Amino acid sequence: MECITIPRIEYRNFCERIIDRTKAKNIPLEGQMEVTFRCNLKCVHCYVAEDSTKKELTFPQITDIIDQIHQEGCLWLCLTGGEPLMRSDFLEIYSYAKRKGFLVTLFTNGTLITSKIADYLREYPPFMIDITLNGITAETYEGITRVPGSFQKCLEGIDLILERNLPLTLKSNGMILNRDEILKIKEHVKRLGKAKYRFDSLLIPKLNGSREPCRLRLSPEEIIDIEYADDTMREQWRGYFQDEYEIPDPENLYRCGAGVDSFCINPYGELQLCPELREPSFDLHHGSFREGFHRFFPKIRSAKYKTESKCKDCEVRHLCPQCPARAILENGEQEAPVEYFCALARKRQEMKYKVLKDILA
Amino acid sequence: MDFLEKCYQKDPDTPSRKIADEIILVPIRRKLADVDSIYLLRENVTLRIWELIDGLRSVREIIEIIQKEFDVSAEQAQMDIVEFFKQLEKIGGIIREVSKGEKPEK
Repeated sequence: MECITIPRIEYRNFCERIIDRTKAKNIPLEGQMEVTFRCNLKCVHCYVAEDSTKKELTFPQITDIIDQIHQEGCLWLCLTGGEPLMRSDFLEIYSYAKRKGFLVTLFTNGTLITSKIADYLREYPPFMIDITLNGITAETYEGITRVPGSFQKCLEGIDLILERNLPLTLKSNGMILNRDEILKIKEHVKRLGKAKYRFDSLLIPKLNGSREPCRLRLSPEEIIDIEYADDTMREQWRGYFQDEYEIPDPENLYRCGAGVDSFCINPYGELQLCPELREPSFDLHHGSFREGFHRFFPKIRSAKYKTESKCKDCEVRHLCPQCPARAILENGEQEAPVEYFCALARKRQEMKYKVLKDILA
Repeated sequence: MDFLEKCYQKDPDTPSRKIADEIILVPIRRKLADVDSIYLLRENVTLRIWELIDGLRSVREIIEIIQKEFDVSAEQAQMDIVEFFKQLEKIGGIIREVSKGEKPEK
């Protein structure tokens, strides 16, 4: 008889194992549910745009969708927004997902976390809580959120989570308004001791077409300077630079995992490849998740380049954040190169040579 | 009560997920110390035992079924399966089903 044991394996190894085992099986392992687009903050850089012509999913509709994605094999579920805690039934949604056996991550701005919510999360711990911290001073933070008092609320939320030893990642969106505080935020997170940190350098246009957030972008030089100056970020990039990457078919427009093993559902019940690709979407009011994921998505993903876009076989493509979703938001056309991304990819290529040269030295 | 006569059910606080032919146990009240690790059931025999745990079958009945379905001696099956149930109970995967007239264990 085979060995009867219950292996307890480290999470990192488990991830590699499950991704390997499900490869090519088209299982929607990772999902993101935007449970609301409402938010108590008014962040200048935020890409989310509420659509007042559409109705948010109700609790029964959300649980029905959770049942469906559970059935299809989704394991990692991220509950996000807007600000998910704006929903009065958020903890019910969260508990429902937990009871179904999802590994639930919560994306929040942290300002609405109360002792009661934190106690509940301690009782039923999430897989991870991600809190956005875009400044280390009230002036910078609130210059971004445009809500007086929100900095203190965010710090209190972070404390409530840390006091309960819950898994926490703090993240920052780099922009001209907090350029000089990014590394200070990271140092602050290090001093907190128990939290992880992530820097996100990319701002994208709003979903309603406004390019306002793009005006706040850091230059490619500034991004690289921040990432190169920090030991951890430099190490992460070094790992990425040294990894072998698969050269995709140059004709394929879609090259990421969106819609292959991941998906996003917006607050109005529309299934999308990812949060940034709003259209085309599949309306879950009129069809099942299964139908959307296994029939609708492959049609989108099978798209080939129709133009002679320079992105097709660009040599720094693997260092570039360009994708059809971002090209649509930026240029209104999915094949059109985003010049800002081109400049960033070229800078990153320079960083790659520098980092690899450092290793040799 | 003889351990073999006990009946177990899956702990509703530990939902299981079958993904890519393996069962993952996801305790919803998991201890925070456990966050960095995952429990897996991945051998055919453990997957079958998990399927058989329904709150109605006793440990003895499950051993008998496994013994018939897998090529194994009675002695070996009993030893391994009893150990497996103890492990499952320890990690919170199963709980004892309380029989009629029996006082719950404290």
